[in-house]
Amino acid sequence: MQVETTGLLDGRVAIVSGVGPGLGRSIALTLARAGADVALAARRPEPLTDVAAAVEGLGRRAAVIPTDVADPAQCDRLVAETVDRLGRVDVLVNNAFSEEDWHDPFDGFDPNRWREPIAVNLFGSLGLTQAVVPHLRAAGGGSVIMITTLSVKNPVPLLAGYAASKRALTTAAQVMARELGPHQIRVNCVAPGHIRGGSLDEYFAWIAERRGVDVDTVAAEIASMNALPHLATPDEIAGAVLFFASDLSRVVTGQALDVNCGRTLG
Amino acid sequence: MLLKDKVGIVSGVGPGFGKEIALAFAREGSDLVLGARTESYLAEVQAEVEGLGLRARYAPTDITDQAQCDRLVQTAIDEFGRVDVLVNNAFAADVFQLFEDVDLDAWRRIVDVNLFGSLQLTKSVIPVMKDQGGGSIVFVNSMIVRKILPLQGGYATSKGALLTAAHVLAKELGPYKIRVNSIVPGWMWGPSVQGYFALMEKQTGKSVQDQYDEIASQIALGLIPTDDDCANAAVFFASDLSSVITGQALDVNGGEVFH
Repeated sequence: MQVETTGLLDGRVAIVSGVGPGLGRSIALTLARAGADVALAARRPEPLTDVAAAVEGLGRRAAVIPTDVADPAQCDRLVAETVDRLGRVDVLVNNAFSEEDWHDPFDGFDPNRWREPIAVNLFGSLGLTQAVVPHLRAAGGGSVIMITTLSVKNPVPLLAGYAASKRALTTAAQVMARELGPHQIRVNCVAPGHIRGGSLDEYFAWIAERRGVDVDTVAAEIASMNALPHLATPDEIAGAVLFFASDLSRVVTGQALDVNCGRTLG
Repeated sequence: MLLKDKVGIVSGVGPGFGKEIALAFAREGSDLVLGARTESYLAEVQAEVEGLGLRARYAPTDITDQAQCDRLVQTAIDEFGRVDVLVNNAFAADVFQLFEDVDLDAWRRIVDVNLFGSLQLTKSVIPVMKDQGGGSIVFVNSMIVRKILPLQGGYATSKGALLTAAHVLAKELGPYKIRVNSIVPGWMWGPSVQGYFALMEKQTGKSVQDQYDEIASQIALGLIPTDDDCANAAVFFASDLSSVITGQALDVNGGEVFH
């Protein structure tokens, strides 16, 4: 993306959860390019270190804080350490997620498969948001962004728990928008569709292998269902996150925006 | 500068939201072509855009006339050689009558402007965007499609049809990399609402401040969004920040309706 975003987030501090090599990385770098310092959270420390170096390469500060968002104590620590090291918090991007294992065909309905997605995607995001609220209030306002999914509208049976957790998160975001609005804290959802160049690549490769076709064929088939004949890259998705993080959306709260090349029309 | 080197057409440029959209675009680096029926407004906004260091041209335009729509787009081509963005902002307000009483010709006139007028201007711009290899079309819709208020049936119906039309166009124009999205403002603090509140104050004795507070209390952020803040949603859909977004409607209402 060549769009000039310098200054949109000058002086702001953002926390991004679930920072790996894909969408989390793109979000962190997009926010940094717009002027934000960024706290990077995920369970695995290695990608965090890489992304931190890239953030610093853009002239912004980065804090690497390995975190399991499903553990409320770790959420509290993430937020406290962010404030300690970067001085404040203005933006939280709840990007960390967990999904069921999609490798094995699954027949039937097993609520136990839902427990982890619900624990991470729903309660993890809620816990981290709760931890950040006092600091957003202290800053006079802020922006919370939930990364949800196309599966909220088009659920796949194999990932039922994932879909349900994100749907619940979407509704929770509306509740939070209502409750936190008086403190000028905005809460919105970005719902990506299929992304090429992130964690979904493994899924595309798996489908391609099972069907004995190449990955580009699989990607082209999925893209053909979109209005725009394209699969979004992580960087392209991050543009919508930047909008909600910035003052461009200062009167937008409680909304869910589908960022999926027109796979759904809403 | 999110719209550097882009050329945008904005319809319905008067003293209200159209002007704020034009100025928001200019602040982000876009040159502009302005359309509306009233030439004096166009000249005023042209001067303001130029004051921000961007180029602006205008053509007096009634969007219910296809030839005038074509002329507005031609003005952009003649002056700037391209059109990256079209913001369909022009609208006709309602006649404020109940459905059972209204002469449906009054609704036809509203639909003629809000639906067919916007579609005509869009039709004029499509060949240009196709030739260029893409573009962004933004429809200004209304919270009336989410929350029905009494006495605005014609306006609501026209905007409902426009929302569906935006979906149709997103699907049809996607293969040409033309994106089509809607912004859905609610109450907007600007000349139109301010004028309405002042009129109500005269008619009912309820102060402008009391009217403001009553509405703001329904809104999560506790305020009525200003029209210049709302204009930034159009900037977003015009910009490459939304390059993978089409067929969507974004509600810009301070948190009155959640969509």
